[in-house]
Amino acid sequence: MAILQPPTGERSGPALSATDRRGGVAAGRVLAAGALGLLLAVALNAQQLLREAQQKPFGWERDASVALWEPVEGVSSAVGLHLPRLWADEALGRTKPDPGASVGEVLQVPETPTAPGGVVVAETSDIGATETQSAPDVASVPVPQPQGGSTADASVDPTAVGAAQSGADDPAASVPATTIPWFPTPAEPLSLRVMGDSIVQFFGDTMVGLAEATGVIEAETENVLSSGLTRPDFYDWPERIIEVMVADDPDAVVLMFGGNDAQALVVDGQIARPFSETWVQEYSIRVGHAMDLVTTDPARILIWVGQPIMRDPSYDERMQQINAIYAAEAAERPQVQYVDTRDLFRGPDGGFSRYVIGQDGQRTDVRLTDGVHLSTIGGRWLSEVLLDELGTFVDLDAGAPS
Amino acid sequence: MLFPTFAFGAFFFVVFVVNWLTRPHPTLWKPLMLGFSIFFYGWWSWRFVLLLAATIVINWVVGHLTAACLQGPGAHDVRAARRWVRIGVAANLGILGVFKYWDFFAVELSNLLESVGISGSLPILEYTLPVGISFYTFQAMSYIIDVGRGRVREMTPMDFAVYLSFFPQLVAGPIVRASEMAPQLAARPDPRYVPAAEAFGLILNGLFKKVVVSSFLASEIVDGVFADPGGHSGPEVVLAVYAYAVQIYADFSGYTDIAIGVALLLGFRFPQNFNAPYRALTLQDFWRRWHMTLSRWLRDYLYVPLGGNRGGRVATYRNLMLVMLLGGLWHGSTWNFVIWGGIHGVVLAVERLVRERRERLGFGPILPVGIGEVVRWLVTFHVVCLAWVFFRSESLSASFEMLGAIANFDNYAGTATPLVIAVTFGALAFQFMPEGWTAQIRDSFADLSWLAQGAVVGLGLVAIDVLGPSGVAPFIYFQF
Repeated sequence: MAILQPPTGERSGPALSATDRRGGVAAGRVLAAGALGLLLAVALNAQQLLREAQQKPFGWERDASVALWEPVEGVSSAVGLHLPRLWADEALGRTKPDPGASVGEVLQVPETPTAPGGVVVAETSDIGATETQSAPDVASVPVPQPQGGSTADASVDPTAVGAAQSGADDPAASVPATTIPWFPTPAEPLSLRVMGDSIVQFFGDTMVGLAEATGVIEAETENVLSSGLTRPDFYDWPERIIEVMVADDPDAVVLMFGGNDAQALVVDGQIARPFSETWVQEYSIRVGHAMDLVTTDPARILIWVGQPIMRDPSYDERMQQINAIYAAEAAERPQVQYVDTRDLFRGPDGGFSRYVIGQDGQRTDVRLTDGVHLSTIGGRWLSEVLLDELGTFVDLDAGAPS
Repeated sequence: MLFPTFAFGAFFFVVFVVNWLTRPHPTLWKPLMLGFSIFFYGWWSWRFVLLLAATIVINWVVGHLTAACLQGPGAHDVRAARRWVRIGVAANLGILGVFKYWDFFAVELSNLLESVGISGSLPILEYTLPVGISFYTFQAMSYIIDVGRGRVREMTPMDFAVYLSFFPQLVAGPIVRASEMAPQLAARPDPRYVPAAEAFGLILNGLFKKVVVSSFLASEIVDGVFADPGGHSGPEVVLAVYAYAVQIYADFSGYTDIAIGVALLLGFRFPQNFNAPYRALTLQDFWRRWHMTLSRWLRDYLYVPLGGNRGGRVATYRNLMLVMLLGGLWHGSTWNFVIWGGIHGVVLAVERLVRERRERLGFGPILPVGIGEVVRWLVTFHVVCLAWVFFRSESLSASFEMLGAIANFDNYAGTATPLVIAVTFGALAFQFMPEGWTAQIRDSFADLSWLAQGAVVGLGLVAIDVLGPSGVAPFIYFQF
């Protein structure tokens, strides 16, 4: 019987075989070579290491990292050791293109947002083509009106995915709620851009697929992990929004931020703690600013997606506070539709759950195990809700192939 | 703590120095190494450390009680030993069940009841899956089973704790057996003979595979196509499946390369976990090359105890299917993993059936040797890829959507760039590289002075950082 077999698997002697011994070198030499390798890598990469340190959330860890890498970077740059990395990045096209003056000249975007009526509107088809207009009164141009059932403080029906689709049969629902003077067709499709942080990674591609399946939308998505609006030093979304609006001039935009934004930000050189009065004021300004950058074109639709319910109660509480800012800023801007997603992903007991009961009565896994991001199915649910939202402004059936 | 980070580099630098300074003094080295491993694991979550500690305590106690039944003076109570082994295995499966399988079972049962009009549901726990639980639980089970079989001696509590928590292999393998680790813990490796060339080669190779190849293919084609197969053309979908085959290999084997290299630098040799799996000509051959430490675990602790191929043809096929289905479930509690295992089980059984029939009937090769090998390679690779579709997709419907999209003749989305094609097929071609080449590269590196070696390591790290995307995604196998 196997259980009675004597020990056979054990062997004694040195852990490493004779072959290892032949090819081996002294630990001290390994340490020297390894340390040299690490030092060389650090010296050549010092700028990147410092940049990553600076992009950490404000706090002791960031301070310590910056304090560690700043002198290293200083020495590295002084003797030109940073140049090979720079050249390599340039050769690979990794350096960020400088939007430079052309974008700023084109848009003349205000540093701080103004009231909707004061937004400077510019329309251009090419970067560099200066065609600045005086600010029109937004109220006087044909813009979509807020939809009471799904904007600001209103919530989305958690089981509304199918219901919203069936709403197409409702004569009232079939009337486009917008005065946009064109209907997308396969020949003249609506261009849609879906942008945001890592949550977009989990539904952006799905939404692009569903949108393009209508036959009248051309969609693109982009996301940057760990990004948001509190840390433009990590990723400057306002700048990116300007680039996209100028270069691509999308007809509709979906934005989703917030998951990484419950962290300190810098106001006038001072660090503001999350959700302090200063923080709320500044973050509200940044959110409004981002909204205004998208809606400089009065015919452009912006759908701002709120954060879903989260597993961690304290994190969820912070996301609710952030959602309140989004809702408030959106309510001040007629072109901006805020979509509350909390109810869409609420579990059977009203709180967070990975498994949400769908239209078919079945529990469905809509979230990832991290309790934050969406599963593919959750992403599909959200995409369908957002497309329904878009459909309240534009008749997406108008030119669709039968 | 992820391997491809500066934090790990700094951590390992300290561990390396302390390891070689204290290795001659086991009473000092062991608690220090245990502390390093706990620090490494606690970097993710200190709560998981408690579970790891509980696993260590439970399994050592069971192992001790089992050994006492067999190894005590005059003691030879086989039945009692078996009972303790069963209790230990049940405890380990119980831990895995609570954290990994309960919700799947509860949701499926609730949905089944709901579909026949019965309301009510089992509670859903929604625990976060502790990193590496499947790996260290399987190691723990191998220990108590081997103690029960008399194949390994009982380890001291400290040795067992160091073995189970040893940080290089803790979170994603290789699954190292106590019989491989115990003698290495007892030995005192000579600090004058550290196999640095092999270790540095493995670490740089692993980092390149993970940071550059895996991340590139994931972001450039795999994630996008699997999220929206209908929005892509058939050739893109097929390319994405091939690319995923390369991605998961680069990701997982990259991790184990780093783990093996790191262990080598500390004076430990882990078993090989991959051996160019995509050059396999049969599925049986594939499983001798893919995740080899899991394959042998399933063989020795599941397939053989089930009877292996000793109970007749039908029993053999049943055992193959059972092993592969459970192997699928080991990865996760979804029907997709079950189907993934099922595909492998069915094809392994069919391969065996065909081989036995041909041997019995005396059939020779149907095709000339060269062509026959190409055909067998193509069939094997595509069976593996078919199974990967289910492995990667989040749901069965998504899997079938992916397979259906292969027939798309339009919707070209531009993801099949020349670089994506080159990386995918280049990586596959690399599997056929003669094994001697790596030895030659290693020998060349070993011949360099330590200054030149350091320069190669430094430039290699920078090159990998330049070529890879910013940020490092967790390894795919961390979720298992």
